[in-house]
Amino acid sequence: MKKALISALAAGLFAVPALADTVRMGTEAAYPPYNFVNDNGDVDGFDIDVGNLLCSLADLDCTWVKNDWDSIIPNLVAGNYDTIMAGMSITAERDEIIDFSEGYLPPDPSLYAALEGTDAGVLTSGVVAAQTNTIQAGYVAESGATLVEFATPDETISAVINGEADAVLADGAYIQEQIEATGGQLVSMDSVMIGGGLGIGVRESDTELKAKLNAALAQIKKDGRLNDLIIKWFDDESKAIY
Amino acid sequence: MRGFLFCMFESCADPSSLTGLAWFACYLTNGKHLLFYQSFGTVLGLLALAAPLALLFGFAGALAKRSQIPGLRQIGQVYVAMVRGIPDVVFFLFVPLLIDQGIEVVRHYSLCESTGPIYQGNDFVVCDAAKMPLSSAEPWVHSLYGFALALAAYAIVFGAFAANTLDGALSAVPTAQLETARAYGMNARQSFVRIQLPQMWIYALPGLANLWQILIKATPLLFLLGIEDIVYWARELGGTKGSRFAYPHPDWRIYYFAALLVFYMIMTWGSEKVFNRLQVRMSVGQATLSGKGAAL
Amino acid sequence: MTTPVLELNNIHKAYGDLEVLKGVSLKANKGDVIALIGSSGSGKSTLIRCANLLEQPQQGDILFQGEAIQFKGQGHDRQPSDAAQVRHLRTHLSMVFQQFNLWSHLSVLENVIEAPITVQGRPRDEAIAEAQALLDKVGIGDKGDRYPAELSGGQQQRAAIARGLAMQPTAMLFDEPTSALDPELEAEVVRVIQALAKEGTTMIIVTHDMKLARDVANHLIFLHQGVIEEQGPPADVLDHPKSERLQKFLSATKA
Repeated sequence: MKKALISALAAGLFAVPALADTVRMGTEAAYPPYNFVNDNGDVDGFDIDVGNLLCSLADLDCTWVKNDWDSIIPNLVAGNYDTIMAGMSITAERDEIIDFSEGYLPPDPSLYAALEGTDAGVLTSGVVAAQTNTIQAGYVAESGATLVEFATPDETISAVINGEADAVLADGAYIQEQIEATGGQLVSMDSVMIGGGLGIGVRESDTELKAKLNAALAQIKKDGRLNDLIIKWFDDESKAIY
Repeated sequence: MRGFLFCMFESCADPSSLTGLAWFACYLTNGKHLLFYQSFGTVLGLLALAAPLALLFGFAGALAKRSQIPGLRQIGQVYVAMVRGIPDVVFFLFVPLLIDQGIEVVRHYSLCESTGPIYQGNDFVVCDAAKMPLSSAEPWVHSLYGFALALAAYAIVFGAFAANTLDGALSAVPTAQLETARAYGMNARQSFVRIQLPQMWIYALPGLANLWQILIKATPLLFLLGIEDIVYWARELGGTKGSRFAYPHPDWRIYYFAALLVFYMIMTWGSEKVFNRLQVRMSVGQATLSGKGAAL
Repeated sequence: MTTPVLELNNIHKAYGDLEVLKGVSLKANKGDVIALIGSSGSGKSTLIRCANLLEQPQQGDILFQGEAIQFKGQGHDRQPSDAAQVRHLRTHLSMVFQQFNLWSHLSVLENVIEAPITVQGRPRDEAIAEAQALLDKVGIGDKGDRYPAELSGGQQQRAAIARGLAMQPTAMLFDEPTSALDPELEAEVVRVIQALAKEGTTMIIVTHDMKLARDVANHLIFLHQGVIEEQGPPADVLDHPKSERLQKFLSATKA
C-alpha cells in the first residue's frame, strides 16, 4: 500500500506533461440522456461519452464546462470554451453563427408529451412548451399552437405537469426519459421529424479543431464505437446507423 | 458520526436496496449534494469579499464625487449615475464580459507572436497564450477566475450604491461640527478624518445595512454569471430524476427552494440583528439620534 | 505702547447684495473684555466670525498681534492667501459657539483634548492632564467620560469653554454663549466667564445679556445695521445712551 502510494507520487512528480492540446468542451448538463450531472456531481451522458472518446483519439486534453443553454452559442463565440456538445441539432440558423462537425447522431424524432387523456387537438391549437432557442420551439411556433418557452428542459416538463402548458415538445429520447421519471403522469403523443441530427458546434474560425474532430468522428463511425455508444445511451438499434 | 460515515461509504454502494432514513442519509451525502453544500461556501465567500470591496469602491466613488478636482468629480458622478441608471442584471452581464475580453485583448497584443484580427466574423479570437486563464489551466483556476470576475461586478455595482450612501452620509454631518473643526485650526484632511468620517457612520449605517440585505438577496445572480451557486444546485438536485440516477425521485424542487428560502431568511434576519445592535452601539451619546444638543 | 492682540480695521462683509458689515473697526488689547451688543441682524455675530476667518470680509484688515492677515482676490472672491497664517490665528483665538458645537461623537474629555493633540501636536498625557484640570475649573470634572448629548446645555457650554481654554489661546471669542440656555443654566456659564475675566483673559463676547456685558466687559460696542453706533465703558454706554437707537434697543431688551 505504502509502496504503491510512493510510486504513484513519484509518477505524479516526474510525469512529463502531456503535450496534447487543451480543449474546453461546453455542454448544458441538463438534458438526459444527452448530457446531465450524475449522482457524483460529474457531467455524464451520450454527449460526454462521445466527446471523451473523440478527445482521446484526436490526442486532445479535454475538460467539460457547464453553460446555460441560452448563452451556450454566445459563450462559444466569445471563446469561453471551444466546442458545444449539448444535444444540439445542426440547423441553418445556427450554422450561420458557428460551424458544425459531421453529425454524431442521426436526426431523432421529436416527441410531444402531455398529461394522460389530453386531446390531440392541443398540439395544433393549444399551449405547447419548448425550450428557448431549440428546433422544437421553432417548430411549435409554426404549428398553430401557442408557444411558451422555458430556459431549461426541466421547466418545460413541469409546465405540463402544473397545467401551465397543454403539451411539451422535445427530443424523443429526453421525452421518453421524462415519461419514465415522472411515473406515468405524462404520456407520449405525436412524433415529428425535425432537425438535421446532432453535430459538434465549433467556432467558424476554428477550422483546425473541426478537422481533428471530424477525423476522429470518421474513425469511430468506421470502427463501430459510435454505434456502441448510441445503443448504450438510447437502447435503440435504429439510431445506430453509422 | 460513525454511523453516518458507515452509511456514506459502505451501505450507500447500492442505493436501490435502501429505504427510509438510510436512503435519505445516503442521498443527502452523495457527491452532488456535497457540491451543493460547498456552493453555500461560495455564496458566503462572495458576501465576505464583496462587502468590503464594495465599501472600498464606495469610498473611492464618494470621495471622487465630492472632490474639488473637476475631472475626478465628473468620474465620480458618471460612475454613480451610470451604475444606478442601468439595470443591475445588464451590468452583471456586461462587467465580467468587459473585464474578461479587455484582459484578453491586452494579453493578445502583448503575448501573441502573430497578432491576427481579434474579431473574425462572429468570433472573438485571441491566441492560446492570451487566453485568461489559459485553456490548459486546472478547472479550479477557471472557477476562481469566474468568481473573481463576478466579485468585480458585485463590487462595482454595489460600490456605486455605497458611494451614494456614503456621499449622503458625509453631507449629513452637520456643518456646525465641521465649522468648529476649522475654527480650532484643523485643516481639511484633519477635519475629514477626525470629525466628518467618524460622525458619518451613524448616517450611513441604515443605508449600508439596506445595501447589505440587497447584496445578500442579489447573490443568486451568481448563477446568471455561470457560477454554480446554491440556486444552480437546488434546481439541478430538485429536478425529476428517473431510473438513470441512483436516487430517483419526482420533482423535489419545492423542497430545495424552501431550503434556500430558510437560508436567506436566516441570513437577512441575522444581519438585521447585527445591524440593529451596531446602530445602538454607535449612537451611544450621539446627539444626532436624539435630535437635540450639539448637532443642532 | 503695546501691540493690540487683535485689531479689526474697516471690516466690510456682504452676502450677495445684503451688506451686513459696513466698515467696522475694533481693537482688543491684552486683558480687554469687549462686549458686542445689538439687535439680531446688526452684524455682531458676523463680525466675531470674521475675526477668526470663519467668514471672509470683502474689505478691511485683520491684524493679529500686529501681523496683518494676507488676502488674495477681490470682493466675494477675497480669501486668505496663507493657510499657515490662518491656522496660527485660529489656534490662538478660541471660539465658543451659541450652540456649543461639541463634537457629538467624542466624550467631553476627548472634545477638550482633540485640537491640542491633532492641531497643536501636544503629547496625549499632557493634554489629558490639562483637560481634566480645565474641566474641574469649569465645574464638570466628573463629566469627562460623558457624551455631549448626555449633558445639560449649561454643562455643554462649560465643556466648550474648557475646550477653548485647552488651546492656551491668546484670546477667547464668544458668540452668544448664553443665548441657547435657560436662565438657571445661563448663570453657571456666566460665572465661568466672570472668573475668566478676573484672571485677565482677553475676550470678545457677542451677547444679548446686558448684565453679562455690564459685569465682565471693560469696553462695550453697540452695533446697528453693520456700523458701530455707540461705544465706551459699559456703565456709561448702558446708563447714558446717547443715540435714539441704543435707547430704543435697551428699553426693548429690558421689557
